[in-house]
Amino acid sequence: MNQKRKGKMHSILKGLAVLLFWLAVWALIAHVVNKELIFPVPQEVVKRFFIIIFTAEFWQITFASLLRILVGFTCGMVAGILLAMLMHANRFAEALLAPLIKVVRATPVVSFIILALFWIVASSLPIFISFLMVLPVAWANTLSGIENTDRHLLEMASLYKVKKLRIWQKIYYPSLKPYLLAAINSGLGLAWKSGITAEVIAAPRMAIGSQLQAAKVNLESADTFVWTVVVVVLSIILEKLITALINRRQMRSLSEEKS
Amino acid sequence: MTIVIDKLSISFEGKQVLKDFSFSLPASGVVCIFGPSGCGKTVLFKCLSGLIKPDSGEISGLKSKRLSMVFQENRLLPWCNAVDNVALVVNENRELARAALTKMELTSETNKLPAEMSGGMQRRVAIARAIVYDGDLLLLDEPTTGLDAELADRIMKILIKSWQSRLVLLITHELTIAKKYADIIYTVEGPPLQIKNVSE
Repeated sequence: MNQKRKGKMHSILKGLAVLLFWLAVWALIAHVVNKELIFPVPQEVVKRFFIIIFTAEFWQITFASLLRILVGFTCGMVAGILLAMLMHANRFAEALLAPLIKVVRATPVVSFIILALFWIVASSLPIFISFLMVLPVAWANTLSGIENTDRHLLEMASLYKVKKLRIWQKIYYPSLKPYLLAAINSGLGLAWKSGITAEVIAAPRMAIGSQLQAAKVNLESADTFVWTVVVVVLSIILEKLITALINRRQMRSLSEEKS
Repeated sequence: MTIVIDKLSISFEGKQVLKDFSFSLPASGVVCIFGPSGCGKTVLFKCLSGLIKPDSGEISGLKSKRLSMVFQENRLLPWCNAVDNVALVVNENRELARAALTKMELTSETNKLPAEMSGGMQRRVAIARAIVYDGDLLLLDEPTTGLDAELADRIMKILIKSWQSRLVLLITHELTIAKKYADIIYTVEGPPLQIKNVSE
């Protein structure tokens, strides 16, 4: 127990040292550049950060962006998984849809944002863009997971006439788990980046991206830094939260299995 | 009703494993196919179980039958404990699964994952899964692999007893097991698989 606490303390101290090092690098660059407008000093950004986060508007904006991106991410994951299942079951569907998904994957996100601006209202655009970026990731990972499921287990289940739903539940789903986790991890990062980019371009009301754009227009580089830090911190928190949730679920199902 | 295999031909992984192979099986009893590895016995089993489609020929008398099988490999779900592995084939009926595991002398291992069990224990879980399933035909592909002679003998007795008045088709390369438990013994050579009744 003591050893564990020591290890935790050690990693916190290490993290702090790394943070201090990069803050020093930042301060040094700001000192060399010596232009607040181009590269603000860390103290100014920290000051603005504490001013911004203690406003009610900050929380409304952050919540609105978070909600949009989470909706897009969830829809993208669900659609990607369902498409992969459909394409695995039906070769015609695979032939029909695979090229479309590959095109979506290869197209730059900015092209979609500009195109979609004609079709979708600004506030829904980040949802659509996050959805579009996550879908191919979820699709590709699910399909790999299905294709790498142990054939021997599937043969055994088919010989014993195990019901289709139970085969999905007992064989496919556990095999798919690591692939889905990988999709969640990379999909979440993509959803954030593309969603915020869409907000910068579409500038909906109450959005982190719009705040970034406004800070740029008003030449408030400290605010641009603050909102960027917010995006990075939220992205890390969200990723950790989802990983912790999945791990908790895994632990629970393992203990249920044991009992 | 007997099972009749008529002029079956199968090429598997570039090899002609069965060529115009004909053979019939009784409605009940223990039929043993005894022969060296690699001669095509397992391919014949996979064909009987419908896991491989033949290139030509046909099998009659099998369509309406429910098959149970102990595969050459254990084929256990690594993320499920012993009870859940067995219960999978009986609509998640854990009571039946536990009873089958008890027959296999695995009462205290029911909650263990395959990775927490020895090879012999895993084999017995696979056998428990086969006997708990209410089938008409039991295919056993080297069922006693990984079991010591004494335990193998006990398990075989239980297996044969639990499948009484139904058909058991057994593949083995252990002559003692074949002689002790089979009503009919065929020796095989190949590929392509050739069969000879040596029961007399």
